[in-house]
Amino acid sequence: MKKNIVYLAIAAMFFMSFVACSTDDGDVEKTDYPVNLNPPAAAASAFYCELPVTMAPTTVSSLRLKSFEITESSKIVVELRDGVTNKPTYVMGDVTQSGNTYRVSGDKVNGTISLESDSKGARVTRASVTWFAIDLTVMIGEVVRYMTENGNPVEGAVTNTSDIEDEVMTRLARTWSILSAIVDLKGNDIKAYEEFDSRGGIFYLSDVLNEAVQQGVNISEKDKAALNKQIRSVTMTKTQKLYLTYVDGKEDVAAWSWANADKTSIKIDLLDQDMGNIFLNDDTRLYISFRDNRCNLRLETTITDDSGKRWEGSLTFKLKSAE
Amino acid sequence: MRSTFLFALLTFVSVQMSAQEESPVKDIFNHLGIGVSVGTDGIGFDLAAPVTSYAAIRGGVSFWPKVAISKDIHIKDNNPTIADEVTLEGKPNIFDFKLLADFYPSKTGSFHITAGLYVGKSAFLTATNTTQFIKDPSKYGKLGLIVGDYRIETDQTGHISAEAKASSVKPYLGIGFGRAVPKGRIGVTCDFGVQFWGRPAAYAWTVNDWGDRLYHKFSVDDLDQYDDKAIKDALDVIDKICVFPVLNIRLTGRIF
Repeated sequence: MKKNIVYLAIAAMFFMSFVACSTDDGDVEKTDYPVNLNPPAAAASAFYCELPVTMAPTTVSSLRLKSFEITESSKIVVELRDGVTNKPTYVMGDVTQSGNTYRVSGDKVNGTISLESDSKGARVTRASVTWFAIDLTVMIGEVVRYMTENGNPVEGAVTNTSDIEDEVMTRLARTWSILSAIVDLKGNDIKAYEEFDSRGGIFYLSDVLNEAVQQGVNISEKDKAALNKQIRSVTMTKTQKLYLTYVDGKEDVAAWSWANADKTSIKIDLLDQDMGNIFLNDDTRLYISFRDNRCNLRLETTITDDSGKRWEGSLTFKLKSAE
Repeated sequence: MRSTFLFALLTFVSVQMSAQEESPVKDIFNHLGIGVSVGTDGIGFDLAAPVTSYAAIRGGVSFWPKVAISKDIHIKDNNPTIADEVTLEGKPNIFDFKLLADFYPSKTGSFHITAGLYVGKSAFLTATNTTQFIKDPSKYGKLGLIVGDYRIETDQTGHISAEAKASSVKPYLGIGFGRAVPKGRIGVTCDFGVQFWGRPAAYAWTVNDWGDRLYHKFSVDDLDQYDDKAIKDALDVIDKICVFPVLNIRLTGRIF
């Protein structure tokens, strides 16, 4: 009888060994995808020219040229500042390069920029662009100097951004088209998402606006106006700028910086306050991930609407390299 | 494979146990019984044979009838293309093959200790929506619910589906009264024991930022303050049924 019990106990223990500690763990989300994002063809020609001390005078009343940038995706972004209010204005155009001459064209900016190299590196020798069909000639002067309004010669600083060797930046710095965007919203008895596709290569921010309004977010008329736009492209640069180009030719610009050492998220600093709305604040982070020739930019933020309700939201832009 | 090995081991142990006291070879598989059972493990059918007077083995199937249970769920979405409520229908999905060994401490007694295995589908409960919660078919696959931080997407017919899964191999341990093969023509046995289900969990198809469909295992830890309490309660229940109680009554008849 005792032996029976012993055998039984052994058998029971053996059975217990079949008890699985867990069932299957489901699919594990990958975080490391193959990436196929070589530098854009024009990346080697990208440069940034900043006039740091006193903004160069232009022929446009009260406007000063602060900087201009030839991006990795053959775009030019001209930064103008109001000489009185210092409010920035950004104008973007396309660039074609021929030797050291960049031909600039676009709805609102046209002209040429010449560049020469010497022992000190690349220097802008002459920039002549027009903005709103008004001559915006900036004489940077002999070699690299331009004259301030006080008559003092000042050098413009030129950075060849192709010299910045950073794998993540190399992937990021280009012009992207938006495939779709996903809106996630939590709070106030709402927990839902919706994905909106671009239509004809244009992403309608108004889709996001309508979704937020439908879900009960109380949005001011000013913010509604800010979101009632159609995005043609998103351009990131190694100079850590983010440009949203709209169908109407206008741009919104933000400076960005890494939010973590792994370079998987960035924080943005709005340079054009018109870009700001209830979806963006100082805590806003953009999380970056790459896969093949695509990039996801997930904006996570807390929204406090005009009625004081708080929401947790995210807006994930699904981007595809334009080249 | 494991079941086969276990069966061989059990048979070996049974024979060895009996061999210690007498030579009961003539008692092995000398009868065959058939049983029908009803209990918390469902409806069962089995065949049974004695392995000496101290043991018997039973093999068969047990299943739960697919009786659907419906529940209306409030949808946390004000989008006009989304219904305010959706009817979710849950169906049990239990169908197990079972192999059980009864050990009788007494040669003539009916009390027995039972050990064995239930082997079957790991998904023991399936749930899907029987009413459409997306009114606009063009939105199928484009919007849905969020549980925790996971997006639950609809398929191209507008359905979401979820499963509760446990281990597909469920060891059983219990006690009971009655002989697996009755001494007369008809007998009744009852068993009380537990199935060990591993750690059950709820699963559902989710979609990530890249559009990949991922079969996600949900736990209470995935949830946040915005999730419906009903979801938390359901996950709590599923998480706690590591051990499933079995209580059944079995009507058995001796074929020979």
